Amino acid sequence: MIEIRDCTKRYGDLIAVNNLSLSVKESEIFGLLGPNGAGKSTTIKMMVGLIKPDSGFIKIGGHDISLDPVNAKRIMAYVPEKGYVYEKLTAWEYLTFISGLYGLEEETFKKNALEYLEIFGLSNWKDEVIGSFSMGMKQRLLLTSAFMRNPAVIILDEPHNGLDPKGVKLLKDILFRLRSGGTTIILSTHIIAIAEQICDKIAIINRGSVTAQGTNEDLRHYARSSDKNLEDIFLRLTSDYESPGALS
Amino acid sequence: MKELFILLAPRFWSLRNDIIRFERSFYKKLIFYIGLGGIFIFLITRLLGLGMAKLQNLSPEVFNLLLVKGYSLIFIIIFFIQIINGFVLALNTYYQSRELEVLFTSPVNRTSLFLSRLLETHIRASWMLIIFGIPLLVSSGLLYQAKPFYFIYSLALFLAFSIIPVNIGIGIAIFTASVFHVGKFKKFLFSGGIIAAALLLTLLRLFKPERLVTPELFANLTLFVSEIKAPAFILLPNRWLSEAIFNFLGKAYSMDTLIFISLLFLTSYITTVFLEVVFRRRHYRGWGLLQEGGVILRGKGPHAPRITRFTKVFQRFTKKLDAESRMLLIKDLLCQLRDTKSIHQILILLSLIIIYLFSIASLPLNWEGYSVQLRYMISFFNLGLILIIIASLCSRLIYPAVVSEGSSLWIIKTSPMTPGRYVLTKFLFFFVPLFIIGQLLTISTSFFIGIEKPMILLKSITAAMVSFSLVSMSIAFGISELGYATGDSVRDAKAGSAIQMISSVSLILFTLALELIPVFLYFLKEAEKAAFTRKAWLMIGAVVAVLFLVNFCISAISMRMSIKRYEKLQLS
Repeated sequence: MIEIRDCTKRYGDLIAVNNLSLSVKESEIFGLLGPNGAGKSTTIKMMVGLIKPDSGFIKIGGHDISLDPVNAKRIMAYVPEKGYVYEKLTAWEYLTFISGLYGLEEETFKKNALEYLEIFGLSNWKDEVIGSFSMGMKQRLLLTSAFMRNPAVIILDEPHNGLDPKGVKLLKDILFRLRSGGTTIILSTHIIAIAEQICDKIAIINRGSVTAQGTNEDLRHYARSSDKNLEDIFLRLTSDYESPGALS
Repeated sequence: MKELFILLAPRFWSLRNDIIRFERSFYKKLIFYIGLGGIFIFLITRLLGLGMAKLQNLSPEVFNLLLVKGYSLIFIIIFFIQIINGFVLALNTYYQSRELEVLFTSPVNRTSLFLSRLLETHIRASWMLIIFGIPLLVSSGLLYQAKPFYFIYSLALFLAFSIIPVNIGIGIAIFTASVFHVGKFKKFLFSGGIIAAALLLTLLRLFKPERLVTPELFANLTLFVSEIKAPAFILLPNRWLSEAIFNFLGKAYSMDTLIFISLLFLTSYITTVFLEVVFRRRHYRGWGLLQEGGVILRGKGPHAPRITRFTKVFQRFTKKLDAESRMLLIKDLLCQLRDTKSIHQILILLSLIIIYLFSIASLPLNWEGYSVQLRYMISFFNLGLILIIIASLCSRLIYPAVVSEGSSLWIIKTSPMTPGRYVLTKFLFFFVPLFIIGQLLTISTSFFIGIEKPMILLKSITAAMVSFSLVSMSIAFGISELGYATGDSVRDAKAGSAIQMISSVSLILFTLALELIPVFLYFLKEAEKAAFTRKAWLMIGAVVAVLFLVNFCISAISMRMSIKRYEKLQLS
């Protein structure tokens, strides 16, 4: 469903993404795990067409994001880490705007939007201006705007930021439901526990490259580790880590 | 003292970093403000100097009287403006500035905190001192051929004078903030101020103030001078300042001069001490109120003003457009209507349009023997002014609106909307109202001036074509700044809008140069009382053709540039 081949992105002398290749199958939850500044957000921004890779290509559902952006974007939904939304619009107006941009049928839009607003506890706020929302509410609205479209691919950049524990659990349940409905999901996170619980496959990114990828089992095998949790594997694979013992 | 330096250090370091790291936006702004400010100060100084020299030659006695009265009047105006300036700035520096949370939770003593904020407020309020103070002091010094010491002396006095009103303004702000929620009060004050200013300006114009300066009312200059009443109460600082300056310039030193100088410095010191007391007693209360207000606002958000009926009408008009474009238009419309800044600008614009139309309608154009010449000359300049108004609207409204999309552009960029459709929809949204305003001004003022219908048609076509180009240019310039404008977009937009304004003015000057041909032909026709020859018609046709071609090329290039730049735009 998603194919990234030999993608590189440079910012001056800094190589943010270095010759990165990934492939994600249909109905899969794929996690991008990595420390801060590893290149997760840059990879995601290249996937959604906000940044152009200097080399390589990215295909979403068979459409190259650089050559055929309109068709690639039509089947994809993206929720950024800190997405600015139009603060002067009400939640409902914002969702109506998104439905127009993606050409949703009015019936489908109303049904899905109301359903997700209810799920995310925003029903009573739908006629309020977004400027008065808290960070968590804005994040829930962004998730609503993505899920209501039933896209084939959902790309989420640190989606748990700003959500309370109830919101995190809710998101997890929705992602599982969407996966069983055939949706492909990519999410980036630096919270290892979330990646471990939600993702079918994980790619550990460090310094712009994929250090390892696969299921939890695959990663354990790759790291030649008998560690039971992903945290230790992650720390073993990202060389920046030094054990507390080494510090003393 | 050490704490005060620490508190001021971030400002200094930010400035230093901007300078040594060659920040593009910083240098753009620096060149823009220094250039514009320098030209303004030079022109004002020169004009003041010339005016004063002329008046002095006419009548030295009246001049001396006029000079002291005039300066006293200007000083009192500056005094009251600085009170408002200090008030508005203090609401920000003492309450709404983003770093305040960090500063107020740090173990810094309150005096250092107060002084650092005070210094920042005074520095930010000093533009008045630079822009108006320097020309006033320099021109009077040059007129009296004063020695270099005068300039240091007068600047020190002006500095002391300026501290007093800013301190008063800060005091009022601290007191007000302890009673009302700062955010809400600021919005209320700003909106009220804008509406009042727009109303006042319009009313003032409708009262025809030009009647007051007719020769019948003011028989001679002395009477005119005696009619000017500047507040010169002995306890007002404007009196102290003007007396101290002109006693020095006229070499009329006395004990009074010393008292006035002492009064200026003492009062500025006393107001600072008094202000610290106010700060210690009232500031914390206002700060607390602001925090509570924030929580209340977040808990119970204001209900969005319902503009559904309006958007339904709008939807009907845009029925033929595709859903993507229609939704983008509605989104832009709602954002503009709910943005208080846009509403303020529209209000000011409306009052200026009324004033402009009224001024053109009340022009005395029936001068015997000069009526025809006057009509065509006025109609020519009128077109220039209308085009400048349209260019200003593009620069003040369209350009910032396009740039401000920057932080939320990810929504459109990740959607299947093509760059071409995005640019065309933006163009449509801004062109229609600009076109209507341009046509309204051109046609109505042409009727008021009383020019012939073919000439009205020509001016209307010209205004439409230039509006087309100006809007597409604004969008192109706006989109080219989008990548840099994900932070404080309006601030970033200022320097770019200056370049856009220069390009617009060049186009207008070119258009006016071409328009001179038909104006001259009409002028000849009216003077000779003859009909147009075929050659004349051909020349007018050629002017329209050239105008069409030039504007078509500019619009096409701008649109293409916008699309290309949008395509290449990377939002990192």
